[in-house]
Amino acid sequence: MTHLFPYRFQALARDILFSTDTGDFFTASPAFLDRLVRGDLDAGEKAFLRERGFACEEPGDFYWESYRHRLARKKRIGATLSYVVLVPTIRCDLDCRYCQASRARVEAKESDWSADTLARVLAFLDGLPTDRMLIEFQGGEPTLRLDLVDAVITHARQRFAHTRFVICTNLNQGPGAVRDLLRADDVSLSTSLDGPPDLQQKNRGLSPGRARAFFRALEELLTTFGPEKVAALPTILPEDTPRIPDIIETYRALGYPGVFLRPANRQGFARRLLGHGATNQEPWPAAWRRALDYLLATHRRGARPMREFGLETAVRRIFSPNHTAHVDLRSPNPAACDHVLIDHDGTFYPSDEARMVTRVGVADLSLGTVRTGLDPARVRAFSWSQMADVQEDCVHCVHLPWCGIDGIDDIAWHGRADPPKPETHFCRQYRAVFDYVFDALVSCDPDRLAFLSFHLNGCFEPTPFVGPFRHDAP
Amino acid sequence: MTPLEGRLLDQDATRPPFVVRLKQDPGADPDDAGFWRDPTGAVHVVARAGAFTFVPADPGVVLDGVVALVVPADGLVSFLIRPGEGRDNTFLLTEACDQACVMCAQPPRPVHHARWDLLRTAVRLAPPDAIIGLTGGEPLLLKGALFPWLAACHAERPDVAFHLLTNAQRLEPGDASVLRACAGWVLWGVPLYGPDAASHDPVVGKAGAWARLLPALNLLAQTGSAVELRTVLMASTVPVMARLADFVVRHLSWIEVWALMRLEAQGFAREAWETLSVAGEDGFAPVAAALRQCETAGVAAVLYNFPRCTIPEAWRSWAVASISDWKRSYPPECEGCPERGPCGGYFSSDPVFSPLEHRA
Ligand code: SF4
Ligand code: SF4
Repeated sequence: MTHLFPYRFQALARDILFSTDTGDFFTASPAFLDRLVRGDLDAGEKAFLRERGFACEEPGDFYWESYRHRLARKKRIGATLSYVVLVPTIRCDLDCRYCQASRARVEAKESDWSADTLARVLAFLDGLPTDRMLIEFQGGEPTLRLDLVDAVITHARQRFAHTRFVICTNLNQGPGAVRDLLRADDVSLSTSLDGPPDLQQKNRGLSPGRARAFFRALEELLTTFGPEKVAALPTILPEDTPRIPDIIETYRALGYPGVFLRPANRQGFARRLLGHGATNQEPWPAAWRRALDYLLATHRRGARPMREFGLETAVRRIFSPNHTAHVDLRSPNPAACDHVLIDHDGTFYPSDEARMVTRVGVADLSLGTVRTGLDPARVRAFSWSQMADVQEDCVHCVHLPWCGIDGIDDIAWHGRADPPKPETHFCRQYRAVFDYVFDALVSCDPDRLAFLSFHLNGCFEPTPFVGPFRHDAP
Repeated sequence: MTPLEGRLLDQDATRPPFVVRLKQDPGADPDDAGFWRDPTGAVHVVARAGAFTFVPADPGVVLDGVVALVVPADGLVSFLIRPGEGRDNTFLLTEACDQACVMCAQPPRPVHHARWDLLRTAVRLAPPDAIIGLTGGEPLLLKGALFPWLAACHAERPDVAFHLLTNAQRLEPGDASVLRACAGWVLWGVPLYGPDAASHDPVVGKAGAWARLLPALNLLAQTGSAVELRTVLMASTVPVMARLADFVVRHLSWIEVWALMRLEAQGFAREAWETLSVAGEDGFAPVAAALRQCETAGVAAVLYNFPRCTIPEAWRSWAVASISDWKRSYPPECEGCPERGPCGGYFSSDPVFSPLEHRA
């Protein structure tokens, strides 16, 4: 007898998309759905469901065991804390329009780690049961306290067998501040690049001279170290979505392999600028979709292909089940399990966004301090809320197996953690991404398939990268 | 005689077989045997079991360090293990099999070759970190003796790994503890020819083979066994490639590697070459799609037995020089080929023995 595993379904433009908790999927006609619900399937259809991972013949058989294995793999989370974000100072020498990082002025007092906090941060690192460590320095502007950055790097290299460090900097101090650090194999940097000079100048409150100096510094570092070591991220304000082609071309011209099109969210001081509710600007999903059309069209015209890293994260989640779940897009999404942030005053947060939400006073998302340690009760309480698998809207959604959950993002955008998911920024944004992917998949358009394949495998060619997922078509 | 054998000049029906390691400078091991070649090419050996003389089939063969099985009754010397990079060291345990694959390179007959004690001596004499192939026929027909033999070899030489080719039909739940003990030093090479019984069973010539294979694969997964899944590309498997790749990446993603193998024109495959073989070029698109599916899903895949020039350039890095050194051959066209270094060439037995034009 054929047993079906739990499945969800949803109508695409014409086909029906089916998925299981393991992230297996197929498409079929509405007529097939009718027969499936009535239990009126022939032997070939049952065999198709077994092959696609939707059914077994009896508990304990090959297909059942395979399903168990896939489910366990899907829900596995890195259980060692091996990624720590450090904020040695929240002082910053810029004042960006959307500043998300809840900054303090350069002259501000009590905005940096004290000697005691540094010692406790190092002791915390010492206690982590891992020999691999990724440390990201954020701010504020961490290069204002290179002495603290140096102290951590030196200590971590002694403590861990494999280290990687990322310095998030505005490059306002010029390339000299980071050049020496970058010479080490385990150090890279990440900076904010919002697009062409006029956008950079407007968003980051720069004088024309300062904006030019930023580009000079960036280009010098790119020439010396290459885009692998000198990453950049844009923040896109609602008013600037029509400029997305300019932003993409800025990245292309600098030699970047892709760009993460990321809308400014409403955290930190950006809330004041952007307001709470919907704006009358183009909604982000539509702007994002237009951006992807632009990426594909420019490639057709012969430009070097560029990735959109948000799309890459999503297609990997859907098609590469062995790929480690991205922290932006996973469920369960527990706190302080594989990564944590330590603020300028030694407070633990689950993420940068959580720190900012706390700072603007919407909710207290701190998880303890380096003095008292991680607070297990708060970590638990937070983690239990981060499971789309039991979220009342998501449980019905066909996208659940490859989607994620991010209560902090919901608070940041909507001021509360419990709005109906389909109305949240997070859900709208990712539904747009998933719809894009499945539209492209069922379209059989070789160009769009090649574009997806490029995001998965780096090859812009239409060789199929998934098996025969289509049962029948309407 | 294969190039890995020699003819014994002193055939002797009364003398029992023995194993020696040929050494230019014999060491302390009592099974080391000094040797010299005379100008006629005959090799004279002084072993503990007595002196003997043989003529190797391949006069150029390097003998220093070779572990050889000497069978005076048959007048035969077989080289079991040859030290050095890229050497294929495989023990043929039996020619019997419980399947009858349509392309079998070595059509089964009920003859066993496993001389367990001698083979154990050979393992003991193997160079450090050797990988020893165990093949048939179907080795697990002898599992009652094979499993304890493996355990004894491992106890004596924990550095040696085994690559065991088996159709897995004889694995059963009671073998779980043995399989667990083999994790880490035995690689199970298991053939799979389709995503269902209708495609797999006709290839292996046995109804019910698929139904036995699935639980065996489960058992291998649950015992943490390392599995190399093997699929020969031929007229019957290429058309189901897309579904088979899908099956592998979904249901067998835990495997070590999936080997897609070009057909070898030996045995049954030679007789039925016209019906079984697929032309390299026509056949490659489904293979490329299978490789792409594996890459996307994060399942390792390799191409065995492909001359590099028969593969579109973008896919050449998947090719492994897998043809045993003594079976491989390079036609004159290979002269000066830039791919020659990493290329495994052709089977000497290949009927289509001419490289396609280069796209390099
Ligand atoms: S957030 Fe939205 S897209 Fe994601 S699983 Fe929930 S309902 Fe579906
Ligand atoms: S020409 Fe010969 S060496 Fe070159 S790729 Fe072809 S088979 Fe290999």
